[in-house]
Amino acid sequence: MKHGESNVNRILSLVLATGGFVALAGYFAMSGNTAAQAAVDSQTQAVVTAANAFLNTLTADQRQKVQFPFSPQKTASAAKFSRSGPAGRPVGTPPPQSPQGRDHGGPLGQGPGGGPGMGPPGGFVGEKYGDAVWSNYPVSDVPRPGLQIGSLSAGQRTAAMHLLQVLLSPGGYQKVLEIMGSDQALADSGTPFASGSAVYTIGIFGSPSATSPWMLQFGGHHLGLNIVIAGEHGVGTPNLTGAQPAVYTAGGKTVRVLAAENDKAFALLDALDDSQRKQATLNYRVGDLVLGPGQAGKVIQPEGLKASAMNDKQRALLLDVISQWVGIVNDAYTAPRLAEIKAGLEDTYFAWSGPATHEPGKNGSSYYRIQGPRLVIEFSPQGVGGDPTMHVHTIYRDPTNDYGVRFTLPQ
Amino acid sequence: MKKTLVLLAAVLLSLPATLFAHRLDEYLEATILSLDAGRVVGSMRLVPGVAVSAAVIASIDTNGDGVISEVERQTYAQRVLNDLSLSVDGRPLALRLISADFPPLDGMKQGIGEIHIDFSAELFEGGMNRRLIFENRHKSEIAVYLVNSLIPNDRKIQITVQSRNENQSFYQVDFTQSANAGRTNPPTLSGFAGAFRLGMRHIAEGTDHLLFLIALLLPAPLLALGTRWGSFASVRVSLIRIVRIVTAFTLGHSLTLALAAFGVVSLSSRPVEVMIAVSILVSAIHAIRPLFPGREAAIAAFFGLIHGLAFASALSKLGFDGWYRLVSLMGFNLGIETMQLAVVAAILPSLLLLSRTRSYSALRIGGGLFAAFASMGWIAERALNVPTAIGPVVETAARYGGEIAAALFVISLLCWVGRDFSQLLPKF
Repeated sequence: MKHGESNVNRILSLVLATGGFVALAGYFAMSGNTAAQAAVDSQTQAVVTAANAFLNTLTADQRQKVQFPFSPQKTASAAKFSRSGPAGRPVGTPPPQSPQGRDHGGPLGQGPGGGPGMGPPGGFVGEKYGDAVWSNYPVSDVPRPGLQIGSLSAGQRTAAMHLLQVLLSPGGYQKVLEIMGSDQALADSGTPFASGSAVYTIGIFGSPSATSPWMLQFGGHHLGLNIVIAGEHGVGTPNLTGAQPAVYTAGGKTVRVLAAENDKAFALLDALDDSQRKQATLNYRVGDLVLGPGQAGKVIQPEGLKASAMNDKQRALLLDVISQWVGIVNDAYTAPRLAEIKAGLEDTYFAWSGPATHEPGKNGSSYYRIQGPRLVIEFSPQGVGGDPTMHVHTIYRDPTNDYGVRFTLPQ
Repeated sequence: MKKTLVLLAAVLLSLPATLFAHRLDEYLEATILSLDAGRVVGSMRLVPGVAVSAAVIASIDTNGDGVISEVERQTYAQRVLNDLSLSVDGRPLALRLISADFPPLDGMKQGIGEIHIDFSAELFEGGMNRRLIFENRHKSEIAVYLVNSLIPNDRKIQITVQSRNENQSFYQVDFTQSANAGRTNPPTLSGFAGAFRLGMRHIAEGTDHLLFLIALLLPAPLLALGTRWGSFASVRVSLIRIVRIVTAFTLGHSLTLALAAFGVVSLSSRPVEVMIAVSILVSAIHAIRPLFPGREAAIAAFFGLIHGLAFASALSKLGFDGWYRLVSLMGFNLGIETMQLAVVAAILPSLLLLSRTRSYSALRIGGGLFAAFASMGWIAERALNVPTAIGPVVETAARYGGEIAAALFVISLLCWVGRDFSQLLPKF
């Protein structure tokens, strides 16, 4: 080999080596993202610490009632109860350890059971994932597994609420407080069923851990928080929020629950031009959630206006609506989820049914749905014989990752 | 009149607040249909509101004994089905009850618990463009209807238009049902960007294409000495060769991809998949012992033609026509090239560095053997239907592709620095 060529080779090699270094650095910057990673890790660590702190305040008996095994399964099933008496189980009565009737949709010809005068057990009342159960029915009708807030001592309650505070974003925590406040207002108006913040129930599935997956469930009449922690991942789907009354007064302050969820959707609708709005608006009434409790894993044919037909400003408004649900969990868990939704935004649909305006200071009576490759959001004012603007149910799901199955049961 | 209003107000006020928590004077009837090649399945949830539950219960518990007997369940479920109508292409379909599940009566009286009724109907064969009409007339005076369709699992069925009347008692679904089957669900992508992403993903996940290319690049920096691989061929010569190989592969697969996308050529996917595995085996052997030194580009172009046919079957999943097909073809092809270049760029520095050291034969022979074993596994799987463990092994390796490339680079750099040191030291 000639001397000159060898030099050329050496220079070329050096250039290549430098280039390789840059590529390598870029690779680690992209995939490692070490600073953000550390934040997420420490977030999970903080959640685990708060969860253990809460558990440590409990008696052995209480611990038994609040802790359940966590056994990830592919999808949720229907929760059914053969009820043992009339509704109105006294507040604070420990709920059954686990609901009866494990299997889904019993076929005809299955032997009848249950007590006298009750007919066979069955009838869907909620969504069940392992031992976890959530529903849009009151706690007295559909007991949630775990400990009710009202049964806790002041110190225990503080520890429980602190756990939520660490797990959720400030806005998400505020939303939870408002939903509980609304339910309390309903209880104060006098209900024969258990409502009010005292019956909101906390359950922990699996052992709080920074490495192996576990789940926290917190809920009541209009709230079903299901948060699966799997290492650095925190997954907040499925999530049910709702309110009745949607506007209430507490301590002289008027609170409108899920106001941002309502107002930001109207802002998006307002930002559409006539032909876009026509495309977004369904010509039929939607009286209830389509993918509410029990409809896990279903992906319906999307309808409405596709975000690929929106301009940048409209897409930003759409993301803003979506963020109201996604951002209920703390920022470290929200950021990757939002990035994922952004990646599929072009294929995300916005569909609207109902009036295009709402009274100031009140939520609207219009239903809307946002559906993307990894996302379903429904906002469904409930007529049910009352004022739909005062009663709303919403659902937020990820058909590809409800209960964090993508992390707990990787393919 | 006034008296009636006062009375109504009094009645409303005296209702317990619990009524406001649940459906009141309505009967929610939500149906989700799922369309399959040979059948339609319907899944209904029925939720009577408190104010109408007595009437609904009376029509279920017909003998009024407070228990829903087996016969009463069957009878009521059948009644619901009788109130539905389902037709495809104007021909009514017979509904068959799959299951019916009822909540306890006192739960229903409180307005909680849902009745679940599942049914199915045979779907006869028909043309490409089809229309389904579903109507629900069950208890229309109190009903709140909901109806939707799941995105069909069957790739051959695509829902194109849905329409409903205002209360959703009438639901019409236009769908296409094509004869050619696909392997997986279609990505919900559209246009150029979607096709571009699909192309990138196809390469990133299509380990067989990458393995072929990498195996072919392994000996590129070397000179063949008879039946053995000899010394380093200089950076410039290596680079030129690598560019020629990649370009030839690109030209080959672009040509057949375009021809296949427009239906000029078509080959069933199985022989194509087998040939791809064979192409890896050939280039793997070549990496170990030179088979066609200096003619790598021609080989790359030839096998590129075959790989292009496989790309075409991935692109056909997008199912576009006319202009869109052209746009998506370009996007898809560019996506493939981009990903391919990224992979080449990731391993190129390592190959060039390491090829100047004695350690290179380890990489060349090790890589060649790995590719050879992988290709033989694929050949066994694809040609002979013999299941092997090769799929998961290669998938795992591919998942850590970035890490492997990074490690390779670090090792190459160390080897190269070590080599240079030993050369340079005596000079100073």
